[in-house]
Amino acid sequence: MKDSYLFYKDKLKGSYISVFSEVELYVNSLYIDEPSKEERLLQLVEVFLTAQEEGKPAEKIVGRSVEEFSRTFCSDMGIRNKILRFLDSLKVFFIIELIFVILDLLFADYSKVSFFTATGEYDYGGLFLAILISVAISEACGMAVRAMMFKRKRLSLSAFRAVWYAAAAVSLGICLLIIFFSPFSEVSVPLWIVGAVCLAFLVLYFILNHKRKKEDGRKSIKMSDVMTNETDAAFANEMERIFESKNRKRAKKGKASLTWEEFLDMQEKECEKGEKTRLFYFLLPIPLCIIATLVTEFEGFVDVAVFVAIQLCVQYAVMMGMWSLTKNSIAMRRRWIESKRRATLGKE
Amino acid sequence: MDDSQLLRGILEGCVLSVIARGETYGYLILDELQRSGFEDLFEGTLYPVLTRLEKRGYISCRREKSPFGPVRKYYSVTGEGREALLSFRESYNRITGACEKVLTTEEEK
Repeated sequence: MKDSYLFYKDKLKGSYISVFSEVELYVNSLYIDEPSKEERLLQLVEVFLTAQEEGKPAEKIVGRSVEEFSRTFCSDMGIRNKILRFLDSLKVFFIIELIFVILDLLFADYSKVSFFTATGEYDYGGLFLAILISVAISEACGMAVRAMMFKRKRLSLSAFRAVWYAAAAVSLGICLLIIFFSPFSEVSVPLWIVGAVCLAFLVLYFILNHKRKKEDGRKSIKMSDVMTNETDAAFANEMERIFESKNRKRAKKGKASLTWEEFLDMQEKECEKGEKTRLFYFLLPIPLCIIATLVTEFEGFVDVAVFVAIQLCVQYAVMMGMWSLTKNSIAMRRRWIESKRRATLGKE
Repeated sequence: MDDSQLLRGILEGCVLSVIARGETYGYLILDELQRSGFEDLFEGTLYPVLTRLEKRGYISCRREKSPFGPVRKYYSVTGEGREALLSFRESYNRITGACEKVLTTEEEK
């Protein structure tokens, strides 16, 4: 994450911190692709550091209105950036669908995919469409929530995620109901058309992403690095809110307020607890696999071996995915602890 | 009368003129323009102008780490940019000449 603006944000002082945070909140409230946000904020933090070094007041760089500055600063990021953002969120689904189509074209005995009705056989097309629609609706809800959060000057990660997941669950549920109880007759689409649509999407994405990387000028953009920026900024806001909330509760009970040092130590212990759960993710598939094997009937040893192999592959893939999410969350917490300790020490 | 309309018309030419003097970066361009009298010009207005000029091929950009750590964009004018600047200067002189005549006539009346 060395090339991220977050690494340099901690070097800002005085009014530059508050001004930058407000611009950062505005940029994160926009529905545009993450690499462009990262690039824009990196440019801004560089200008702020230069001006800070020369003793220029922040007002000389941004003017009197930070909101007006933010709008002008991002005025050239338009429809192309929104499209890129949307494509970024969907590309995984199109890749998975393309893999399914290729496997079906090579090995399946059917040549069409069913949409809008569940035939129980080759209706994953309907499921794919349902997922696509629910992601699109969730992104739209996410856009509305972001705009609202900028108005309230707070980017609450938990609230944003709650809205996104709720929108995804409700819209997916509605789509699946339509598929399984649809009054429409089956709409079958040849596999090759579905494959061609997926391929067209991925080619378009590849072209736009290649252009974006070229404009950015960096050798490679790791999405994992860029994706941390928005969540890190939101996580920092969340932690501030939790710290204030804890101290309000302590004040009501007549207890002394927590210092930042004490709060950071608590968060450090949370990280250590989280790291210990790694063993859990590695060991859990074993008993689950044993139970599944015991309750299933097999015709021979080969059957058992194939079943156990598939079980372990699928379960470990799921566990690794879940561990990866936990690990990223711990890493985000540790990054925040480190930057907060540096900021607290700097003030002292 | 609102100055922003006038500014919009000449800002690209002025930014191109500053860059044409030698390779420079965003903060220095802003500083130069503010010291020249564009006191109400801020980074927010400048950055989209630089992006537009780069997309049109009038300026080229190279990246290098700044002394403070983040990557800094250094801009230089291209051949096309120099032609565009020449064209801007001609248009500017023609328009300001005509404007001067109209305003002087208005004042004399």
